[in-house]
Amino acid sequence: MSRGHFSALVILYFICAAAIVLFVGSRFTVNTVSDAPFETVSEAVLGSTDLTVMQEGNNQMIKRLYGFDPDEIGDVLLYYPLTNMGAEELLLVRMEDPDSSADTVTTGIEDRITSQENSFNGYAPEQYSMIEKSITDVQGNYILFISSSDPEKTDTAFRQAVGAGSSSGPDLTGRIRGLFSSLSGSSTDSSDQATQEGGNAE
Amino acid sequence: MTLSSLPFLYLFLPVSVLLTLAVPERARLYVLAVLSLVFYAWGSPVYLLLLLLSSLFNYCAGRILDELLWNYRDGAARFYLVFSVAVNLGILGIFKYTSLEFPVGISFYTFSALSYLFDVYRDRQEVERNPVYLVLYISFFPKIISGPIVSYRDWKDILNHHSMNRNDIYRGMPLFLIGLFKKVLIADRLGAAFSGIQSSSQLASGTAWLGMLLYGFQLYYDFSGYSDMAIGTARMLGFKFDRNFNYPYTSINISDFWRRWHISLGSWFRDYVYIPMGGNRCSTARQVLNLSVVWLLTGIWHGSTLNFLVWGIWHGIFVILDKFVLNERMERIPSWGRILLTDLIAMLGWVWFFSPGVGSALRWFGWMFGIGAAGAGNAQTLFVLRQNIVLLLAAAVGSTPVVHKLHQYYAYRWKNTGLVISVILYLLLLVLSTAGIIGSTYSTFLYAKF
Repeated sequence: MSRGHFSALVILYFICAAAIVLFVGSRFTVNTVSDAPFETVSEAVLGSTDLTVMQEGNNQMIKRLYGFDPDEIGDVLLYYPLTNMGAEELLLVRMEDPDSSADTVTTGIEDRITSQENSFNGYAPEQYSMIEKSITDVQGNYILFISSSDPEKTDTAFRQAVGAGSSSGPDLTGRIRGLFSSLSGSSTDSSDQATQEGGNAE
Repeated sequence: MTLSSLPFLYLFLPVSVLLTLAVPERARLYVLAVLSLVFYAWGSPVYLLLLLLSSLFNYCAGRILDELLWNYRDGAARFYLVFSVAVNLGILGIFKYTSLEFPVGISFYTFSALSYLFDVYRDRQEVERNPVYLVLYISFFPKIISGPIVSYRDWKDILNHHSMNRNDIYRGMPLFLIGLFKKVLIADRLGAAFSGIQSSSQLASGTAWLGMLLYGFQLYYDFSGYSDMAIGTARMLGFKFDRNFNYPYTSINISDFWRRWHISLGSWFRDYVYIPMGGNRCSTARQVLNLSVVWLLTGIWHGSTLNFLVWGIWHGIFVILDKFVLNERMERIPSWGRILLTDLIAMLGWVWFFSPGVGSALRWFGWMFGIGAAGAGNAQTLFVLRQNIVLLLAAAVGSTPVVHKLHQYYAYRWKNTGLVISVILYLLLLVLSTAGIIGSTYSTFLYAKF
């Protein structure tokens, strides 16, 4: 191999390394919008969750438990416990406008988690533990909240279903801005900070 | 797109096989590389860019290593090796152990890339000069989601002798169909039964034991089914991969179990971690250290939560005990007793594996041994047992070589009639599996998340 050829290879090598770093960095900030139909995602999520201890909730129940109006958000699916002693719960949301709705939905979920923790704290340790291990996963225009004995399984199915429909994201300027804000350590408005567990794992 | 989905089964697979068969021999590997990228992009379009960047990065790394070693610049070569390994493991670590969306297959293709770098560095294999061939090695669609992790040394050997004909299709298709059957009609049913148990807030001892058995068999049928499909698909395309499972539940000790379960991962750790650390050609203390490192890494590879680390330690302890303490004593026990003991250790290990955390696993162990359990057995135990006893027995029998041997015996004895019956049986597997896929809501492979 000639010296020039070798130098070109080394340059390409480091360009690839830099591009990989940029790509990975961008994943922390890119707010991917999924084109996956709500029916497909809900089918994946429901198919990977044990629903025998839950019942489907209507819009009124969503307003009561989460404090937002589904009609103002987009598509919402709720399964909540059959009894007051149950902690199993599933909320799936597809937001029409993630920028304006994400905070509303995540705040509603956080309030619901706090409310459930207060309900179970002290006398129902298993339910409390289940709520602690619940998963809130924000993937672009989709949000999943799952509290069950195996939330990871539902979350995996959710991510795969949402990921299969991911095709578009913000414009290049948005990506670069997000990347630099990430690298400089400043806070971002990223809603792709996925999997915020309700509590610490063991 | 998974290997057990209808689009793969009835569109991607037949189109891939026919297209590869139709093009001239010299173009086949290029067609397969393109098909592999299409397959990956189908399920994970965003991460196709990462896959391509990673492939190009490792291609450059391989060429640089080769050039430096050729010119005896060992120090510089070592720098590039360490840097390249760090970048590969860094990508894997970031996606695996942070909250980022997990790119499908990254654990498997990263280990393939590392195999390439290590093999080139140690001069075991000639460097790949064609970047498309390296893309194909890293992204080959039958193996990218969940392996098997084919070492570069083996891949290069297969590639050098690659050919494809109708005989490969005849040999690969039955294996694929057996894998599909294992996944759709056994693993998914076991999984449904296990999910019902796992969601309970308290279990009777009997139910907890049943749950462990259901999961142990589900994982085996799910992953070995996937491996059969992957190896069968590869065979149809002219690539002969070694088996990834060899009836692990008939192992006579835990070391034997790991020579039969996820063989390609065990081989990877043996070739690139255990042996370079000295393997078993060193003092006993050093061997214990080597094995401990391998099993800690095996646990960490599977997941970021503590339960996977404990699972790795669990197996590490039994492998070390087996090798240095129990070896001769175990030989006094009859084979069937050793098999049962090995299965018990492996099955108990799955409790760490399927639990979301260490606390949950300990709670499950507690239920199994009567601590905090809802009695020895209850109505749920009887219900689960009644609903799944046939499935569990079939799963147990199917995890031994009995069915395969019976099939071979009758196929040989009945000659042409046996062949016709085999074809009918395989078609039946296809029909039943298709019905199973249509009837199920959603199913993914357990190992896809690793």
